[in-house]
Amino acid sequence: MRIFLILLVLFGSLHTVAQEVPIEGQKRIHFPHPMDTSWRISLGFTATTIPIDIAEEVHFRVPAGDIHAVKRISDKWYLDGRINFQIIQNLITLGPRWSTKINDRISVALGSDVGYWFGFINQQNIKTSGSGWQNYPNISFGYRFNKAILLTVKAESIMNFGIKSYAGEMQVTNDYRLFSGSAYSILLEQPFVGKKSMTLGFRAMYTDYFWQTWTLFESYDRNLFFPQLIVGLIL
Amino acid sequence: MKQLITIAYILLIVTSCRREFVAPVPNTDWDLFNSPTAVRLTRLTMNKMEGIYSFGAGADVFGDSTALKWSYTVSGNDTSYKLSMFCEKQAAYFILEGKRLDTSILLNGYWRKLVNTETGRVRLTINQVNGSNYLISPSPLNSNNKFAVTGTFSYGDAVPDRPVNIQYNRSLNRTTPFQIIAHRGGGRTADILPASENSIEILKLAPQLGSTGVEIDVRLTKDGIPILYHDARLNERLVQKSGLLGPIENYSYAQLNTIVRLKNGERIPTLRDALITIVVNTPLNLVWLDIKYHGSLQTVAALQAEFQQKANNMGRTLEIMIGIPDEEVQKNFLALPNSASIPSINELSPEKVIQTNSKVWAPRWTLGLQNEEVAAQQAQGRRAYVWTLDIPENIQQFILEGRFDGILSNYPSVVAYYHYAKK
Repeated sequence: MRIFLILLVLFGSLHTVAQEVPIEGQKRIHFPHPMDTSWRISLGFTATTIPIDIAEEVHFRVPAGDIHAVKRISDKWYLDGRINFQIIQNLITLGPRWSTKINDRISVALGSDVGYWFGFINQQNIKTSGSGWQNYPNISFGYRFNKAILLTVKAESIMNFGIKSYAGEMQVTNDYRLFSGSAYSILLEQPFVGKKSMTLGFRAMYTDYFWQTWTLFESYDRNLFFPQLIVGLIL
Repeated sequence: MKQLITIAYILLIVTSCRREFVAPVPNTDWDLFNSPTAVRLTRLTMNKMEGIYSFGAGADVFGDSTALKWSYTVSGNDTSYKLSMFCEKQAAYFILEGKRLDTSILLNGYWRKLVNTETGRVRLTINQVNGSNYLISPSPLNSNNKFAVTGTFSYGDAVPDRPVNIQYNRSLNRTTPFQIIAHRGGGRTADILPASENSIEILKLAPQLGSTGVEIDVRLTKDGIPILYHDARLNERLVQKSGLLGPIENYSYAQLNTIVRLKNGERIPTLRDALITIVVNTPLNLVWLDIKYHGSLQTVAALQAEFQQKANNMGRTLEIMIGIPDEEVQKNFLALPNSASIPSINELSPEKVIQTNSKVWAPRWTLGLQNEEVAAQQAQGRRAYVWTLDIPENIQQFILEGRFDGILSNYPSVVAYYHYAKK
């Protein structure tokens, strides 16, 4: 959390060198203002802290590669795809996004991303595997500052379908949690080095199931807090 | 830009607050229950109440059926009995006290679901119409004696007003000896029980949660005192903020006892204090000492022998066994004089079990049912316990399809339900 605050301050201080540019010229991927290009791709990572309730003494932060792509279909309709990868466990989401601008500064988007996660790991000589379907209905509000800073605030519902995990031949989990919880994100996007832009975001997830913890076979039915740092380079 | 930073900070503060989960034990005052004419139940009445019941009202919250079983704790000359109801749904359980008022039996207490934070009050009655006379009479029950429990429950501290009733179906399964072993003395701190894991208080609570035995974690302090503590370090998961941090073996027992408190305010207990509590205050009949340090086991083995003797002298049925979780502990165990005669639980392979002459083989549950391997151990006169099973479907599977002699779980109430309800 402290690192995020430092990054936020450093990131914010970049405004001294940022040039004011019209929205049409600004690269963005989370910001809900309608896009003017057919594709936008971002490469980065997420880092999620696993709560002590389930991680116990190994209070760790799990980094994952993050590839995010948005394809423009029409003026207001987009296809939003994302891959979160750690090799041994991965999440792929894909869904429609409808974006519109309210005025020159404010824009809004609605979306629903369907996800599939899967993982394989050899734990103490036992082959364990897991997979599951998810859905993230979401709404985003964007506010464009006058110094090329794009602020997106996003709220998501987290739905988990068909969580399945196996230890060897034995099925460990076969679960279905329609309303697992919700997530709230603050995302900042602005020009970075070269012609790239950068995303720095924080996502607060309150959920009773987070896919990256499938190997822990946890039994809670409580909406635990999973803070997630999001960093991306918009190409 | 100041605006931006301010907004971002506000949003960050709002969204980054970690929610603290609490599940306080509700206030269980009930004037009728506390009336001076209400008297304690007899042992016979209590025994007759034990059994498997089906829910009518309340099934949507607690599941279709429940196992009722009494347990006790001893405090000085006083023995306090509690009736536990182990339910099918979401690791729900009830902890109740019982009294007789004229011809009615009153049950008063609280319920809790371990997988979340739901809890509340409950007031139950068995009156004459519902068969209290069968339970109060000195005659044994027969198959024609039908009785039911009716009452109300609530959420939190609210006065109970939601109907709940259960109907007696059959007696508890007691066909084979089976150990219901509570992890960390009774349950994890993260499950927000009224006592911290590995505390004296959780040991006293363990029988009410369904345990017949407990697994406790043993570490050594800097001055060589065996204590109960799971993690390698003092951390926010297990202890209140005290200014002490780092490996627990860096501190003397006096330092820990003076400065450090567990999450619910308890002191970190010594193994000696824990064993006194188990032997004197509880009906627990198994102690699994999970050795969490690498070093000489002599102090622990001496305590084991001392308290095993005390329990024997008191006529208590109790086994205290040293757990062997890894090769290093096995090496230290084998270095003990007469190690082959020291009761132990070996978590390693069946071959290692023979090397240490352990009474119990304890494989991890993810290895599966292993019915053949378990049978082989039993054929050698040993037992097999499986750890650490928490998912109700898996617990049910291991009880119905497996051959293990015991299950270690963070949810002993779930193990108790499936074990006692087994047909």
